[in-house]
Amino acid sequence: MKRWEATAENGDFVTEDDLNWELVKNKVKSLALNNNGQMIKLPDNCEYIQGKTASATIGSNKIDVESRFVGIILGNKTIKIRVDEKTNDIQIEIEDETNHLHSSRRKENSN
Amino acid sequence: MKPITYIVQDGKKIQINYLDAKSSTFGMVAPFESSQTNIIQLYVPDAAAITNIRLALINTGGIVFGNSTFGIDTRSFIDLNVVPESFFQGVSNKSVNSPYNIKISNLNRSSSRYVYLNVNIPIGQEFIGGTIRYQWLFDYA
Repeated sequence: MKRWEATAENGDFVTEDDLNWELVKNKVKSLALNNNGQMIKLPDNCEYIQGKTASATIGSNKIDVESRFVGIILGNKTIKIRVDEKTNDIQIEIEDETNHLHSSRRKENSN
Repeated sequence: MKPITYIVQDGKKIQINYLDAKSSTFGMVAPFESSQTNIIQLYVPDAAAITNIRLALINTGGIVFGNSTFGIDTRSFIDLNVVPESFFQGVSNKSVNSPYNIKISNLNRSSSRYVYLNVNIPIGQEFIGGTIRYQWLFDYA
């Protein structure tokens, strides 16, 4: 199971199976990415983002999820923790206002 | 989620399934000639928003790749007179992080800007003419 999991300001536990992110994104006090049981938890009480990177060949009416990420916005920087959908590689991305990308990687064993 | 690729033909946007190098979309292209320009656009109607749109060239359709062969440009409007002056610098081989992927800005929350594509066949190269494949990459929440 791969999904984002959040605790809302009112204490409710919500996941992407329950709610559209747009409905909850401004009411989240903690956010984690559940990667088949491996929990990637972000610091509490931040401004959060989450999403997936998809690919689609022209003409195909379906997408492949290539990776998914959770992250926080700190000032003019966005920090994302990205997990490759197939390999479970974890990548840390830091983007600043000029969209310059810094990253570091480590190999993560899949269960 | 069902992404749609439009192509502009006769002033209208129609949904397409592929871009063929030899017959329909790029037209017949002889060595040392440029093809007609195709204007395409990504539209993802069932996403609240898409971001970080990129286009990858993943199959050259039998055309030998050169760094001034596969033209690409973008605009926020349709202009039939635009001829791409930038080019793919490599074949991406379906890699999300390929340096050859071209960043495409949004036109609105669910659409890309219009992407202008053409093909320039280098002189002295054989043109086989197959299906050129491009791949969209994008983020969604």
